[in-house]
Amino acid sequence: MTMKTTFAHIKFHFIKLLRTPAFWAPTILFPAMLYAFFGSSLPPAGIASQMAIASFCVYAVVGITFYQFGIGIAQDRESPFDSWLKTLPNSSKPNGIAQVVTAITFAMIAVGLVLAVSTVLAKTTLTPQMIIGLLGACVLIAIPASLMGLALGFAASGRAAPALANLIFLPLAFLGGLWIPPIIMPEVVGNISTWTPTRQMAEIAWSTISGQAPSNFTMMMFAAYTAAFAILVYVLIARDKNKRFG
Amino acid sequence: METVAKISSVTKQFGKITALKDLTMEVKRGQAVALLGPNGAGKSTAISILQGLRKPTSGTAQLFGHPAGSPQAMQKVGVTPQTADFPVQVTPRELLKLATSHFDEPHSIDYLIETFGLAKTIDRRIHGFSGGEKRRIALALCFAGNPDLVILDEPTTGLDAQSQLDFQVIAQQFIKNGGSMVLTSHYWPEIEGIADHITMIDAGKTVLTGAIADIKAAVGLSRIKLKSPNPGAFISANFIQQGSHWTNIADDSDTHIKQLISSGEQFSELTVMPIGLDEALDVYRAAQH
Repeated sequence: MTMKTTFAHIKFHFIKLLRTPAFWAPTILFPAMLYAFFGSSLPPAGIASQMAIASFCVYAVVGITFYQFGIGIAQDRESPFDSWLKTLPNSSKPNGIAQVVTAITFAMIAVGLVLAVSTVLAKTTLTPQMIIGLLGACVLIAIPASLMGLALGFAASGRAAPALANLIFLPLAFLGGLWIPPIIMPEVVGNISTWTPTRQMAEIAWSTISGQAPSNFTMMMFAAYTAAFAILVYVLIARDKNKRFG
Repeated sequence: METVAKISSVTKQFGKITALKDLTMEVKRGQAVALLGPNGAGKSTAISILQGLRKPTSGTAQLFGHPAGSPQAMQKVGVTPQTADFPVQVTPRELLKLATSHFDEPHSIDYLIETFGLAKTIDRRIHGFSGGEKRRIALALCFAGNPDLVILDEPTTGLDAQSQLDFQVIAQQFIKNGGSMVLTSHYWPEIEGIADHITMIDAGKTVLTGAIADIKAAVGLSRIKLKSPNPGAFISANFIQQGSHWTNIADDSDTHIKQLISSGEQFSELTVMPIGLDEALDVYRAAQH
């Protein structure tokens, strides 16, 4: 694997995505737009407003990584072009790295937009310490979110993946407290929320605003979900490899 | 002569289905081998094993002495996509740049544009390309890495007649320069125009392998074709009518023509040529049985 090949794959992925505005425009703009609808009406100086920024940053990262890996891989798996790419010498790692780089870049752009909208529209600002902590949390959160996307990508067909992604992600975003705080959820929903992977992600992001470390329960659940998704992805990749190339 | 591709005693099973059974084939430098067989014979499975996309259940597949699919092997190999189905957002130039980035000594993009007639489409997004235009890109991608061996699965499907002939010239030049080729095709003229050897498989097994010239020589049949406005008994008894012409396949064309002349029949446009590979293979295999 050479740098030249890796850069060529990264460039190729960016070109493909940038020329698909139907994909990137909603995924990048939605979190900032939803923040403008739901978060910007909160008092600008309060912690609730800052927490809302963190929630929509998590929404941005999870949404982009989950959709990009989930739908992108499901469609690639059925593409003869993807099979042809595998016949090129040393193509798998550069292709994988390119997918990760584009997903993280798009996620960070979406996070940047949320921060920009919160500053301009809601006049809510985060301290540099909060921003650094939040960005770090976003990178950490991207790991299980990407694994969740990979699991979907290797399990679903290209046609089913977009619908399934919506079916999984939108309820998880709501239940995780990414749109409205869990405290105002009905009790039953709030109880379910406690156990969702997105709730653990949100708790980690909120901790960077509150300055309080996430609870042991949150960290254990986060680690358990990450491990479970990783095992699931491993099994699904092996199944897919055997099915397509065995 | 150096062996560039070798499949040794390969068996491939998909569950209970045996796609290949003890298949052996070899390609030497400078050879163009056509992989022939009916639908479902196992050609695509054999090709995908050579490409490194599938692993044999037993046996080995090697390219240039390395396992098929290994980076060392694929550095010298060009492959056409199974179907010319590319991301529509990109241009052929962007695809070619991606492909050439994997190889140590690739062809220049300009060379590929000129050789495969891509000048008009090179910077247009692929969305809306015709099947023939996409097929040209597929061929250019196959040759992009300046390969020593190309593996072509139905390379000219969708190309117009002139483009098929253009590709035959490119392929012949590639072989003449020492390149090697494994080819599958349903077009007999293409197979005869490019390949010099065949490996025929049926039900996953090799049923015939050899040089096309040797097979045709062993069969030794010629096709006699002539035009006769009013064929007499001799012509109509031995020949089959095809439009305004009459044809016959004969093992001794000289004797046949002498008899024609001595019979006093009127005829014109007489041609004598070896029978096609498809007919020769039918006769050859029938004789073997």
